[in-house]
Amino acid sequence: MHSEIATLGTRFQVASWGEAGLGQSFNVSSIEHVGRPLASEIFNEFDEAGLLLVLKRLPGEKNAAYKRRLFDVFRRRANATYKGLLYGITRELGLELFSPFRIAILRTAGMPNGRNPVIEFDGPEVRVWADRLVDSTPELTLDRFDMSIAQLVTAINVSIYISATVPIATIGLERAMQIADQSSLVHVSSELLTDSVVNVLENRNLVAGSLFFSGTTAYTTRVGTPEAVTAPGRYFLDRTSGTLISFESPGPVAAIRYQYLVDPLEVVASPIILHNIQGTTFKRKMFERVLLEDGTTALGLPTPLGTDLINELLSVKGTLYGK
Amino acid sequence: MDEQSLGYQLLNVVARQSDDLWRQVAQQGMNYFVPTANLDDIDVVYKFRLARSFNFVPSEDAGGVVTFRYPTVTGRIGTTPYTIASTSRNNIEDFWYLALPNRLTRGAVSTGRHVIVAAGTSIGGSPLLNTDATVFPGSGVPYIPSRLWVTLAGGTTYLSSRDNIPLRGLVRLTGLTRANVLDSELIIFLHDGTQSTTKEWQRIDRVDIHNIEPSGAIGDPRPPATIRIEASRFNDGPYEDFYNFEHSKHSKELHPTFLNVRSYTNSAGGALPVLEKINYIVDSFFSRISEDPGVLPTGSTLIDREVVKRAELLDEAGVVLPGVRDMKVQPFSTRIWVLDTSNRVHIYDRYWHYPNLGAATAKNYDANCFIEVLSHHEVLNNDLVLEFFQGRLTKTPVRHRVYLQRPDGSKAVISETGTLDVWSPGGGFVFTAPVGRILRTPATVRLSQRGDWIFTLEVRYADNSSETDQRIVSVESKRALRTLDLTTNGFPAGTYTGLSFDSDQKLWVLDVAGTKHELVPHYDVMLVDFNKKIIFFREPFDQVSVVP
Repeated sequence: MHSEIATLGTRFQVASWGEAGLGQSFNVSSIEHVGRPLASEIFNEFDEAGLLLVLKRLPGEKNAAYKRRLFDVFRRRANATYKGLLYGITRELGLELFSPFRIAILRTAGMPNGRNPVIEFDGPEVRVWADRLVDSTPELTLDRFDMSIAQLVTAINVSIYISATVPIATIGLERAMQIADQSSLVHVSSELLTDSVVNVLENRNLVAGSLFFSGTTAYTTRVGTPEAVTAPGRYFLDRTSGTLISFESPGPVAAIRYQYLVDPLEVVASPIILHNIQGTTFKRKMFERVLLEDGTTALGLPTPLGTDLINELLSVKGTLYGK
Repeated sequence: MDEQSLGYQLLNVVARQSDDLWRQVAQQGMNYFVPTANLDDIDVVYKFRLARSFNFVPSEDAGGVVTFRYPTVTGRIGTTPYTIASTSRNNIEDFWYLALPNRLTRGAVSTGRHVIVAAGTSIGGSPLLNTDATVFPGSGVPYIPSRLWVTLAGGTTYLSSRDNIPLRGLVRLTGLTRANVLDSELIIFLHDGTQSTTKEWQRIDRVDIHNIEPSGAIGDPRPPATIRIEASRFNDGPYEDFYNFEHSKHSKELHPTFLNVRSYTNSAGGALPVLEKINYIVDSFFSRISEDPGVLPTGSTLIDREVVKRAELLDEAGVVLPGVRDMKVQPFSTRIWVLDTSNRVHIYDRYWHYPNLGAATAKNYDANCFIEVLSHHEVLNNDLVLEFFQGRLTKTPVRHRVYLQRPDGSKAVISETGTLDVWSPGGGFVFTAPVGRILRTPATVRLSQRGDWIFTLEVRYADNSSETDQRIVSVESKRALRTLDLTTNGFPAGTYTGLSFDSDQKLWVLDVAGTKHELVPHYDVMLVDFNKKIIFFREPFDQVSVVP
């Protein structure tokens, strides 16, 4: 064919052309090759970093988006915990965490309306507590499974202890289940104290009654004012600022365990919704609740949602085990 | 330094190449680290594999070398066709790094604020609670990913001590970072100036300022220092940032120089849109407290600025711009983007014109009598003052003449009174004796043409010897490599006032209403692999058609 073109210049003859028959001639310069170009990634310095961080560039992903995912590896580690899975899956799919709204503790004349007001996102349930350490039942219990974010915010703002900022319109339409499980009450298992009579802790808004000291006898009796710190063992705690003042230095190995309230809480959400099928709250979504003779309930047959999920899980079982 | 001396010419032969090499090495160094790597590096291309039966049309160049002719290629996005151009050298540098955009589209639009704390805000109110924090930088609209620029002005004391503890001027920002983390950042100030944050922010909730005087304390009659915080710098030049840094790191000149655009009034009273190279005059105290040229104070008494060079700005067609509003240097490139008053953006290279001194054919570099000019770089219709001196009083000049050659080749004699007379090969000599070392009275010439003017001084001495000195003065102009009109490229009609690159190296343009529009350049170019029969594109076309 090539030699024919060379011989005939810009025209050549076709041996066969369907119904058009023999002897048709075509102008080579008029033949169009038509198609759709495919994205092709060029390996560059960001891919080098990706090799080190075990994070490949997604098909067609530009440098700026890839760079953000690379940074995210340092900020949000992926592992087998709830958070780790959420971080890892969100990142690997090229999605991003976002903050749909903020939650702040409501105050009157500068004082919180509740003693230890807390909000908890736990599976489909959202619970608001007036005092998380004392109360046996929450002030509000919301089922967010079928709610939008905007609907959830409206429901939360019924509370007299906390308030949520109104999300922007587009985010408000998203499912409330996109909000990750989290709590405004955080537990610090151990924080070292400096060998000084004044210690400013890393966190503020400490929860009263949650403090426990170890490795020291400098904090045995809590007093109401800094001026009352007049004898060994006496100490003053400013819960709001996280400041500890003691009569004597706590020594070199002193540590403190405490809980604190995050205020305001920047709520974290992800387009990825992780369900814990072992979780009590989600099991209620997967199975019918059956009333027993003693008045309690037990899990019964799977709901339509539960059936779908079980079938889905069974379908990937073979893949997981290489079958 | 006389930039037309032999030594300067010798150095200048390698200066640009050396500077380019330094920039490339510096860029490679920055590419080692993810935070500083060049986001504009080649990343995703779109390739179209031709059928194996496809044959490129051979062509033979003048030297008899047989190559292939570039095919005629059209790309389509939807139903809109775009003609694809080939590159001059068909390599990656031309295809990616040196290609010029041939069209623009409007990308994201942000109506959020980019000014977090307005200029002139007193630090006396610290902590500054940004009451409008929820709408910075964008409430529901894409915000401009950016580091913040913090400017302090009017401060007199940044270093102090209390109870023998040294204190430094501090600004602490608290808010939500781009990574959706509640965080804070501390910036240390030692003097008035502008610094950028290291973090990218999407919301600032609180600004705390410490240890800066005057702080607006009760009883202090002094006006307090002021603070300004911006997420993007629109129309706020000159920009003392890394990418606008003119000198190479290893330059022996301590003075950093930066570029800016403005309207300049020339000697004829006309307003010229110009690009200026600005030199910062830095005193030794500054050198002691900071070696970082990116942290230059503005408005401080420590330093001053001077314009060392300027060039009139022309569009791609060679027509002078109607006016300029803003400029930005494209990161990791030699490109300067300029916004004019007709809502057009122009792309210039950052190279400065140096005249070909080979045109000074008659120049005697060791001439005893010589011309001196204040600057070898002027702009159109500026007046140039020429002075004439005798260096050593070893010989007696008996006659001399001065004449000029305009860029269009025409010549004129400069008379002793400064008027321009008709030039003739032997005419125009004057016979007045020098006064001391002054050969003759200075002359003023209005430079009425763009290009290189050659001034010549011919001197005949009593011993019948003669010398000639020549100076080339350039009337500078820069012609845009590309001019693109915003309103014909999909941007709404209106007035656009500023340009800014965000931290993703994307370009934004600000309109007079405060809305930011992402300016997306498009490159309809191709790279052809003739052997493997693959054509690479930069744009994600839905369909391409290729004709040999």
